[in-house]
Amino acid sequence: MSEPEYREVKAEEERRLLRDFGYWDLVAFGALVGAGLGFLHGLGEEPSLRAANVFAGMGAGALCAFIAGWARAQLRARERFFTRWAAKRGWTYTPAGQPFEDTPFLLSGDRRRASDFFSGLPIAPGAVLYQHKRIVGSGKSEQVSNYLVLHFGLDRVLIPLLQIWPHRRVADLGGKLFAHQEMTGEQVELESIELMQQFRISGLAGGGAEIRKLLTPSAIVKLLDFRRAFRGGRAYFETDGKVAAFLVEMKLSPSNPRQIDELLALWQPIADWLTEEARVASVPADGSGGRELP
Amino acid sequence: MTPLQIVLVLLACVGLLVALSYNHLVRLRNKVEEAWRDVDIQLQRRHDLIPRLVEVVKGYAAHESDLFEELARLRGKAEEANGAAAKSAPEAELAGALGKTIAVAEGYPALRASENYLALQKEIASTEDEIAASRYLYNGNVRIYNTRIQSFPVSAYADVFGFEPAEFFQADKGDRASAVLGD
Repeated sequence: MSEPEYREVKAEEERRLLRDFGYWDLVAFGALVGAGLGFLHGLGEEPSLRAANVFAGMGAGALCAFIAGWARAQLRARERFFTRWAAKRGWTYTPAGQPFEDTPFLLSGDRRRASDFFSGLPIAPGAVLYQHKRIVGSGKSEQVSNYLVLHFGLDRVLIPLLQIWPHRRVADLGGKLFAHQEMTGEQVELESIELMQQFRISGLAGGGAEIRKLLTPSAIVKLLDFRRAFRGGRAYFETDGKVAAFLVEMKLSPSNPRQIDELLALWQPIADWLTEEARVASVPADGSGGRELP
Repeated sequence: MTPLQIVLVLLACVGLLVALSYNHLVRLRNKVEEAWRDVDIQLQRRHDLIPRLVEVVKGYAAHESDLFEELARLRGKAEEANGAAAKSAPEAELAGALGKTIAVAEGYPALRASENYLALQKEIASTEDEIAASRYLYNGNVRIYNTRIQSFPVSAYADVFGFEPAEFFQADKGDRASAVLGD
């Protein structure tokens, strides 16, 4: 079975739409409703303008129905393509679902939405990749940021909280000036200048020693390798209790599904390291004599 | 504003910039030292593993005494050296000898199957990984620090404040032990 092509799936879906009587019925219905609205609008006008109003309404209604059907076909093409593409890899695709909200960054923003869930990924047990939308503000001031998130569970609590966030020069300066802390807890300085130029690292207050112990030189090299190889937007890494989430600022597009493969390949060494560290961690998370989450 | 006031303001600005730059250089130098301490810890781990490796291999290959003596000699030489540049060559030689010992050990199936040896081999592999990673981070820090103090205008006063270029820790044959371990 060859790799599915989005263009083909899209063309197939568009052909199907144009052959569909239901679609043309919808366009005709749109034209009828538009004509009715045009007639009502033209009631107060001169008789010569009434016909023009009816025709204008008919055209607008038909166009709206045409566009709505076309947009629906694009959405269906996207879903069908991702379903096939995921199946080719032995994964499962679900077009919609609830966003994960179990790490500080995933919980940030005023509202959150999620779509395009891929599960059954081999990168880590129970791993899910999805498109996460973070919405801040509303109305005209609404800002939507898109993130591609890899979310997976760890066998044990590796560290109560670890946040590795990219530097945002302006936000950092604002934070310093107005004593506003975007990240929670204690910020940690590590020995690598390059890492500290790329990322801000923090954990729970008093958790600095644990973070330094976890982020060994080879772990830092993995993070730097990722940062150098990843050419996209900002990248975030978080673990909160038994959950790990990797995020990159990116909008998922069916036209370029290879970006998922590339990203997973870049994330793989970091996911392997976390999974392995959690596997060998001596402290159980189930409370049987282990460290408890705050 | 009088010309004197303008000159004083300019001097104050230059002084502030130099002070900020000085603090930045101190931070960079501390990072270089911190990264070197990490390398040193990992090298010490390597040194500590050598007697254990010799002990385990000796039980199966006692006639390889020349190799064990060489390993002990190189370990002593590496421990005596101080500083990144001075340690580069002896550590590379030691890593080479360590790789050779492991290669010899691989020739004894009974030893290869021994749990003690397998655990030790795993520990050596992990230590070699950490040495390579900490060396990489240290050299990265040195590169950033040296570039900073050798770039204008910092180069004009770095020397005055005692900021000397840091030494790189060269790998050379240092990766040999990792290579033998299949990393």
